[in-house]
Amino acid sequence: MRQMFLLGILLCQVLLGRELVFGITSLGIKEDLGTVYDLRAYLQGKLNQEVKIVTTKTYDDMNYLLERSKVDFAFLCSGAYVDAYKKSDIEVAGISYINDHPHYFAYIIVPHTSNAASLLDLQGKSFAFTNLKSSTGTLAPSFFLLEQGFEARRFFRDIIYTHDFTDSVRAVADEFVDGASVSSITFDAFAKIDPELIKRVKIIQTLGPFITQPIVLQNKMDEETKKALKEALLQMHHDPLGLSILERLGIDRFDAIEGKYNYEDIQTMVERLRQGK
Amino acid sequence: MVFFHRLPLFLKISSTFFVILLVSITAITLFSMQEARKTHEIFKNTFIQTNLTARTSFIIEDLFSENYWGLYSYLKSISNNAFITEIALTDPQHHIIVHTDSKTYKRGDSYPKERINSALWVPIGSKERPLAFLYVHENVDTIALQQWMVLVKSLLIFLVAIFVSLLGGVFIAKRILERIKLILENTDGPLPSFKEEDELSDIVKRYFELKENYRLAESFSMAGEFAASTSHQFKNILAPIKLLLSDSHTLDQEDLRMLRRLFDKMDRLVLSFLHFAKPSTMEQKEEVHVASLVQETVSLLENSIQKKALSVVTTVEKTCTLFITPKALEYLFFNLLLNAIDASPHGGGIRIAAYTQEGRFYGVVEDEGEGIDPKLFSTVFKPFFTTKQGGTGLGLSIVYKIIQSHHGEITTERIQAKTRFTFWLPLPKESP
Repeated sequence: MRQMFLLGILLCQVLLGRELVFGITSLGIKEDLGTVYDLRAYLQGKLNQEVKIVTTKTYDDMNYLLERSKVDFAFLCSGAYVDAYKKSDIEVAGISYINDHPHYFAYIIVPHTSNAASLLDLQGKSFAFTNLKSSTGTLAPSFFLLEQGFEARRFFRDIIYTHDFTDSVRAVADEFVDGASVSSITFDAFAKIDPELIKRVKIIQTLGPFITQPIVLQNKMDEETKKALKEALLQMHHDPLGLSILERLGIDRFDAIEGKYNYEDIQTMVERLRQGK
Repeated sequence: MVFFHRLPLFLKISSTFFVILLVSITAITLFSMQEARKTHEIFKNTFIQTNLTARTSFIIEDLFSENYWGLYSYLKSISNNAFITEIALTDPQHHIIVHTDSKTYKRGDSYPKERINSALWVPIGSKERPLAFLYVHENVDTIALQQWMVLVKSLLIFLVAIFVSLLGGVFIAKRILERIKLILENTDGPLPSFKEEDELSDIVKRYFELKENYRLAESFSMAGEFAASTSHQFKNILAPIKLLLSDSHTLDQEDLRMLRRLFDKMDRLVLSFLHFAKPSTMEQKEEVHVASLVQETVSLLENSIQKKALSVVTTVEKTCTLFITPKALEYLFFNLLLNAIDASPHGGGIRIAAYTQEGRFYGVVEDEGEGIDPKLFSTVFKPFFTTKQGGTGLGLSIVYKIIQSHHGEITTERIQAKTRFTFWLPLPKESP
């Protein structure tokens, strides 16, 4: 139902006039929507073209839009990318660099009063995932448990889905759940926005590293636009406005992948989780 | 009610104000409390209607999609309210789905029965087969505090209102009494000016007018009475003189003595007449030391006092002075003391006192005589009224006239076998 609704909106946009549609999944963005709008304005300025933002609650929804070419370019997490790559004609425009590395981590967090020292101590407890395709929010802790011989669904007494890293932090801080797995990029950025909330949780384990989330674009996009978009993203850190936006997103810069990195590790992880072994 | 009738006007006015306010503020307080309770009921109904019942479909959608975090966030946001402590969402078997106090109540746990019983509850889904239950716990402390605050505020307003009403009552009563006092205390002098122009001021003005008219009428009456009495006295004296001096009568030594006595009586009558007719106030006034004057007066009558072996006690403030014609004051004490000596039994006691109090000079002469018949109190000050043999009957009437001309008052009373004459004269404002 939700997907049909999104398609309807996008169809209207296409009929009314062509503009670039930028897809963002809501994980971690609701705390700083201003930065997202600044990013849109930056890209509009560089591309000299209207840019529309479309948000989805889950990566599944975003992949659905990508598959039907209703989104021109989008932020995806690595876990979502390996799924979208199989179904859609997309390519990676660039990946995020953090502290000069194209990697990030999954933080296992618990309430600051908790006695748990690792993910394994949370057996029989409640746990918050973000959404099914999230690499750091769901896949990483599930895979870690799989390697330890546990199935997440049975390992935890109760699993809830927050669909947002910051909500996962809140759920832990409120002790609504006993633990959660969150993206290190979002967690570190959120720590600057709400340090008081962050004080109510603690990191007990770090999983990873994982290759950072890519910005993907439709292969069938015209070459001129594709080139302009890539340049706008990859040169963003050279532009004062672009740099300030990146800083707020907790990213140093975007870098072209060009075969240097691949998502095989993630692919393997997804596959093993699917097989359950 | 009888008690109220006996209350002074001051208390009647103040207590009326007080009672009116007491009743009205009590009514306001009760009304406020009732309103506070109503507001609470409205709050409860509105809260449930707006936040819970109207959003049931969203809650059901979240339940079906297992969006427990969404449910928690929603319930947490609406429980962030001073009147709500916690909200629980349970399944029909009362297992917690989400609870806003997530630290204490974990998902899947049974919700305690006592918590269920103490909460407002809303079924989610159909009433017959609800999908879940929402239990809303009100913040009893906040609600009680809220109602308590209403009560405290009402009481504060009540106390302030009482205080203001009492002040108002006292102020108004004072303004009324100030004017009534002018009548009650028979104040002399010109009519004071009033700020108020109400019926009471009209009454006081009318009283002063009537009093002045009465004075005039009384003085005319007294003059007429005096003339008639004097004529009668002279006629009584002249009748024997006329007989003695008739052509058919030859005067002997006894007749001459009789004539002398008759002429002496005429002389005394004329002197008294002069005293009565000539206003002593016309003479020069001066600061009179009252103690000395009383002492001198007593000395003048020492012979008469000794003849009856009377004891005279004077109690006069040493510093007491009065700005008055000395002869007038001397005449007052002289006549009152003379009257007391005549009335006193042999060996009796006389007390003379003089003092100032509340802007007035008071003179008191008290004797142990049989006193005056109360029926005669109203006539003792009339000219030629006398119960003494050989008296002119002018002494007390002259006393009365002097006091009246000084805007004072004289009263006589019988207290514990003693007859007391008390007079007062207003002290000039500049007089110490």
